[in-house]
Amino acid sequence: MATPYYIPETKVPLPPVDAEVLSTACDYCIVACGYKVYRWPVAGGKEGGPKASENAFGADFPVEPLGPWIAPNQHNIVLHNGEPHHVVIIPDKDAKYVNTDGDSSIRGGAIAKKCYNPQTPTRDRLKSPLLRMYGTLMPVPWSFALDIAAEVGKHVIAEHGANAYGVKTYSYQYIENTYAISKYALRHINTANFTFHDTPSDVTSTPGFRDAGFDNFGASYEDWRDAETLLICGTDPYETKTILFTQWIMKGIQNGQKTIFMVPRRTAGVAYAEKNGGLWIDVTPGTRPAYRQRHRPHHCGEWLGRRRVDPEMGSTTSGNPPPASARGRATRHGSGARPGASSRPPALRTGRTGCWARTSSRSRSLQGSPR
Amino acid sequence: MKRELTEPAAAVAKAERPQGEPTTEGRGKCLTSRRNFLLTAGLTTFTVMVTLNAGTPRAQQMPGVVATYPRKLIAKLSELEIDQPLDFYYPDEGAYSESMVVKLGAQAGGGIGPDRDVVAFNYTCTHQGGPMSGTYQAADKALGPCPLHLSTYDLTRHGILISGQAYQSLPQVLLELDGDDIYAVGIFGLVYGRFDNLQG
Repeated sequence: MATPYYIPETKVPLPPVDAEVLSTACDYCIVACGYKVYRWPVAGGKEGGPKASENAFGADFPVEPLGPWIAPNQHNIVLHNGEPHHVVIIPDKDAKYVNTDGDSSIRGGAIAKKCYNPQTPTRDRLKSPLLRMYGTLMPVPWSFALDIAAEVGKHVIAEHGANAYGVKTYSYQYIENTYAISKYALRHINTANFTFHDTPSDVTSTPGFRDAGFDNFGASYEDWRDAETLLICGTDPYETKTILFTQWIMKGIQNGQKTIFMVPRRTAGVAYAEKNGGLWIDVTPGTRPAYRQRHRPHHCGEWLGRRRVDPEMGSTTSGNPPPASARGRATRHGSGARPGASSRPPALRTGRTGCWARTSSRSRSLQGSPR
Repeated sequence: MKRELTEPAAAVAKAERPQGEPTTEGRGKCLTSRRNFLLTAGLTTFTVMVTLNAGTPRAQQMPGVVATYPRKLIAKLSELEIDQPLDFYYPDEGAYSESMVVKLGAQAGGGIGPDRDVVAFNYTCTHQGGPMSGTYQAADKALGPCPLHLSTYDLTRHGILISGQAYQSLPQVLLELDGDDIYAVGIFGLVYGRFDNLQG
């Protein structure tokens, strides 16, 4: 299509039978779906054919739905060992965990597009450190930049103490990296001022919810599917953790799970949940304390205990005393929390990053225990 | 380092927009002009102007050639009713050739007819091949959500994704109007499941 943003292609090269196959994982979000890279040299003009015996997928073309199709955006040409090579990067159709159907988000699906190819916009990349000199960022050698960083760091530590030296890092992108950075911060700098990703200090990103008895960021993907009720605040995982939604939450919703979204936008995942018995709670400016009130734990215990979703969650408690365990927490919170204090829903505070509250029959039993 | 990303593209869109094309800025940016969309019709190839390196100082217009497709009568303009899609097969009757032509009642990129609102698209979701027949949404002039993973496409803007997971726009069937006859004459974009639109 002759638009300024999109030039359609109507053909993709198929990987030949002897193409190299590399397994990898998408690096965009924490779901880290499995992908496969098919790589073969451009030289010689070799391409696979449409018969299963002629291509590296072992699939006949046209492929089935959910099959190993290659969108043109999933092909690129890169330099490998100094020679141009085709790369085709598609979701791993053999994956047994996480991304079980070989699904892909709009981000992971286009990983091939970010491989370096000077014929594409990836030519515009940072190749050396930049140092601001006389108001202008100038490229400098790594050794020079590291010397400066080391001297500044030593000065800060000598002058103000180790805790004045903060280290902030991502919390995914493979253990080799996070291990090295953690060791640097905690052992070599020896600073307490160290944290991951989206948190101001090394704590959960949703402390209010954890205090309230919700178990968040479950490690088990089955829980996202098997929970009876999900409360999702601040984000639509269909957009931000797409495969977690399509491969797990969506299957739960199809199986009767009640999914409650507390987000400002009625996005596609919200629409799907609503269409299937879920609930959307809009964020109205100026009503944060009201939301916080509604999310006091005895209310949550109430609707969990009765396994029902009421559009006016705040009103369901009248005439229905909360369970004893929930009452205990309500008292604890009622004395400590003030409207507008830091216990308001973290999703509203961070805006972009979601807070996930997961409730299931398993986690419900945890709510009464001290945390 | 922040770069001016919109200026060159906007300038290009403005410069090439003939009279009668959408005039609002937001629409103009992602709609091609009809003149460029369809310079010639019914011939063996189509020459279209494409913008390379869009949105960068390197933006340039270049002629592109679209491969030969069969010319197929698919509908009569006078029989189309607004928001009532008609189904047809294109470019062949093989897998994933199910397509639809619809009079949107709203001017659209690549639209033909006096109101430039008649467009045609392939029915197969370019995410993972879900069938989107029956998912036309009149209110938004959209196709979807796909029953598999909810991708939804904007039919007024060359099938660009509104929401969802596909990393390609929905393939648009290039149309030609000959009197009252609407012909399908090409496809922009690769149809799901195929490695080549014409070879399967």
